[in-house]
Amino acid sequence: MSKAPKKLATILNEAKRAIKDGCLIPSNHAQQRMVERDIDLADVEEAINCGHREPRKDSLTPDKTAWKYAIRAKLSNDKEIRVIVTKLGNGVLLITAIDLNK
Amino acid sequence: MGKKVENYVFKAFGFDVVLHNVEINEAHGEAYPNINMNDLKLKTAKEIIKSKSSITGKKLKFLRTFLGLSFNELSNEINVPASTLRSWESKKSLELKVSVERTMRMFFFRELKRKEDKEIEMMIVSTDKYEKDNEDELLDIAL
Repeated sequence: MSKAPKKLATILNEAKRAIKDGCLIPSNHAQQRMVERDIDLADVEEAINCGHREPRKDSLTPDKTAWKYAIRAKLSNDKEIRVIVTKLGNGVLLITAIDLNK
Repeated sequence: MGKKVENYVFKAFGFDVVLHNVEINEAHGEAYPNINMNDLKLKTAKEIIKSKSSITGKKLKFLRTFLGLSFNELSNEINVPASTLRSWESKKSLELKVSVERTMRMFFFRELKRKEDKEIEMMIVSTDKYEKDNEDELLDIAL
């Protein structure tokens, strides 16, 4: 049985850096969910820049080779959202965003 | 290498942006476009400012956040209360007075130009630093 991958302690900083470098990439699935939930990229970026990690909501990717990390924030427009990201080469992939008030 | 898509509709800004010839990659079972978000944001901002169609709430929010402006900063520049701007951003369509929309576009245009100039300046500064770092490195090797 293969061992679970190690969690990245620096994922929040890596996501912040990815925003600056233009390599926080929303997956097709994330974009679809964001439309349905009325969450835009500005909300997601604010959540990453101002939010906190929520390790108990982390989970493994379906192929179990990487972690999906949860970040939670209360935004300036009063929305409370959770974003799920994973590491992607030099960048970060946005997997989904959830409106916690709905 | 992923597969190329002729027309890809990017939806994460809250409005549709059609991209041409985008490579779609896959990682951990998730498909994603192979794009640089900073390039995409810059091109999108320019298109919105130039566009003849009216600015929507989501486009207003996109421009304001892309340019790093607070509600108060924008409010002071275009003489619209911050609370009104906040409510505009949550609306799907805006029916702005022509003069307000023109003032807003002109302000965003100037801010965009300022942002681009600043980025070019930063690039030049960091190039100087890079060359200086390399000079030091060469000096170390020569010694």
